[in-house]
Amino acid sequence: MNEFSAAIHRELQSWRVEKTTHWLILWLPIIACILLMSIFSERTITGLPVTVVDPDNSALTRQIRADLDAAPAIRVVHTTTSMDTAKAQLERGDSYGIIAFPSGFSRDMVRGQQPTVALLLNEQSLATADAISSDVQTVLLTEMGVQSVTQRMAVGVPMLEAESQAQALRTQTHPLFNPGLDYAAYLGIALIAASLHCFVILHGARCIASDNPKWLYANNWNRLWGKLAIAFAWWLFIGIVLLQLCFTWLDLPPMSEPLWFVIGWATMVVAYLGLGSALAMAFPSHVAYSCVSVLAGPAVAFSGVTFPQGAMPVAARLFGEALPVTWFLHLQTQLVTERVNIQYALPQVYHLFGFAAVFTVFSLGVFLWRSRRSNREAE
Amino acid sequence: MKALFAGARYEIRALLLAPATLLILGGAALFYSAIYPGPYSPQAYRDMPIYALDMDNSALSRQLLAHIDAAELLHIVDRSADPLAAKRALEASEVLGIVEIPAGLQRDLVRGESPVVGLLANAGYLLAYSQLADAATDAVLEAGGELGAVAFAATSGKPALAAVTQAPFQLKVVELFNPGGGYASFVVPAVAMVILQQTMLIGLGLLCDARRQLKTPMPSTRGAAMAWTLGRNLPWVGIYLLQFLVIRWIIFPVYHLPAVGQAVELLPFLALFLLSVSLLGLLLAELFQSAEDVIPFLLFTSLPIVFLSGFSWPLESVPAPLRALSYLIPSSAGVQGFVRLNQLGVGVESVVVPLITLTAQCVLYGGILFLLTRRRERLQSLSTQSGFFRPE
Repeated sequence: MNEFSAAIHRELQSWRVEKTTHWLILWLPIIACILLMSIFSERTITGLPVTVVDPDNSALTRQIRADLDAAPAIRVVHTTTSMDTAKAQLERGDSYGIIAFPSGFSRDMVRGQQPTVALLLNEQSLATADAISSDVQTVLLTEMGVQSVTQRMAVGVPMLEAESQAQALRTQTHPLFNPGLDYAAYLGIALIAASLHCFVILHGARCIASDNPKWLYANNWNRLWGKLAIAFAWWLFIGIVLLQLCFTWLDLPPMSEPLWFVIGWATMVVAYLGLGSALAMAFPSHVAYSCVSVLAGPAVAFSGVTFPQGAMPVAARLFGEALPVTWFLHLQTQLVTERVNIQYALPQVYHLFGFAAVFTVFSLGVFLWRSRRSNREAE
Repeated sequence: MKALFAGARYEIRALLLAPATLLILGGAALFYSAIYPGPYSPQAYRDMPIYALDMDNSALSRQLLAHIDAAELLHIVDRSADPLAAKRALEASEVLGIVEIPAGLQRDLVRGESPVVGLLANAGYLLAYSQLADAATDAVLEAGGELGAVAFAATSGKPALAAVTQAPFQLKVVELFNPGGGYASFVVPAVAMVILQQTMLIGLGLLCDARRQLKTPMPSTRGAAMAWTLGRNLPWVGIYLLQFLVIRWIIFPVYHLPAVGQAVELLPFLALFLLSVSLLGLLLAELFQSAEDVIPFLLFTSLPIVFLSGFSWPLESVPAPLRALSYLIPSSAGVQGFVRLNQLGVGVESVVVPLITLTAQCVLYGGILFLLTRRRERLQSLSTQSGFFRPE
């Protein structure tokens, strides 16, 4: 058996024997995927509790309350006449927003005094505030349109003309690539890929850190290749299987370029195995793991998935662009969510190839340095 | 009191055996808290690139596009009447959306046919989509409202009623606690609590080998043993309170993050939160076989924990079993309480539930830790008696 095969055999044995490695390469990735899929299993934000302050309690405000309660994202859980009570509920987290009608709302509207409905949102919870704002505005603007037509007709404008005046221009929004505004398709799959990349880089470090340095550096680099080759094969398989299972669970339509997706994932795995192994060869294991956590921990924040890279300051954008996972997440969004032709996603693939080459060379360089040092010490 | 300090000394001795861990326990939270707000520091995505697909090319369509371009969040980077060019720009990620002005816009408007302005945007990036859709819709509806009012004044001969009939009532959106909807102000305070928790859990886990090298000097009486267990948390709660002070009173102001909470309310709450995290960390450390296992097991938990804390994804939309699990994670109650005290500026009466949750966690984790440590001590003493254990 040559050194390469021996290294593969040795690595497979350690996977069987070492419980932590077993968990790291199999059970924890599965748990992470299930957890993240379960968190986003509702897919969209629904049933957010809101409070309505309605001292008017007229037929019109009761109608609007019913319409609000029927809106998908919100649920009217409290109706009160006191703003103080509503604010206390908001502060305690019992509700996410307040819709406040003024006293005499219906009367003032008939008198043409344009009463104001206030929508108070807890913007400290941005995602819920956006969802509530969208639904409340839809309900109130629809009601405003109805009232606008009614008032125009009351002064003698014909109905059709009144309708066209009330809504001189209409808008129609088309959420492309993610028509249901599905958080699992937008955020869930990105978080799963980001979690998997943590395991890949940790495994790259563990392959090296958990083995005997004397054995590893004693021969040429076939032992390093053997260890990393089997890790690569494993992550190529398990990563694609888990991602594909998640896409199937989410019932996403087939991606546009499956082969390029696999190539993108493979190059990212090469890059992170190279980086993880290089860190483990350059530093003591606990320092290597700490470096891994510094690089992998905040990666999502810098990747542009949650906050667009175009809006980031230069330093943050450059740091994000220096992480292979950033390019893979964009590639995944383009191929899985947007389903674009590969010509538009090639820059992502080129960057991933670049990272794979750089980190492989880096890993080799550190290996050579450690081997020479190890040989000198042996002499 | 003696047992309390003996517990603290025990942890400090473990730290001295693995001094590199101090980098995690004493610096990682500050490091992460300092870099994490970086990407979000502009707070909002302004001038989002959009494509104007103007099929009408009339004075009105140009006026409408100027109105849209004037919106703070939007910026028209290219325009043409070629749908393929617009599609290519969207697919190449050069723009985030397309505003489509239909052919015959001006004519249809004069005829009273309410033409439809299309907005096609990339919902693959949901945050950008939602802001872009809202801004573009607002701009079009505002322009439409003005046109409708003018048309009414012309047909009815009652210009004084134009504004009232166009908007029989007004809607005023009041953005509380985070005016302007800043993304950093929304994310960073909550994530700071998760960072404090995760770095402490990892740091305390990394000391598991060092603790096993020490003999467990747990007092024999139950009261003293409980005080000793509590005392083990003192160094960590202290170190993390100091880091919290730096985060809250130095890093937050550097990034101009709004923070209105008072120290007199924040510090006791944080002390309770950190005690709960410390007890959980010491408990988890008992379960790890080796310090090398800690980061592989804990690193991936950060992302699910962020989304189980209820600030970026509402707990109302999380399945019931996971919502129940979130009550066992200190950062879930920690985020709720800290954000309310520090960002909303509310009083302690509004954080009763997080306070009760954290207290219950302290009792639960402290109780289990107490039992596990006592069991380990007994095993150690049995091993020592039979000659298998050699404390260094």
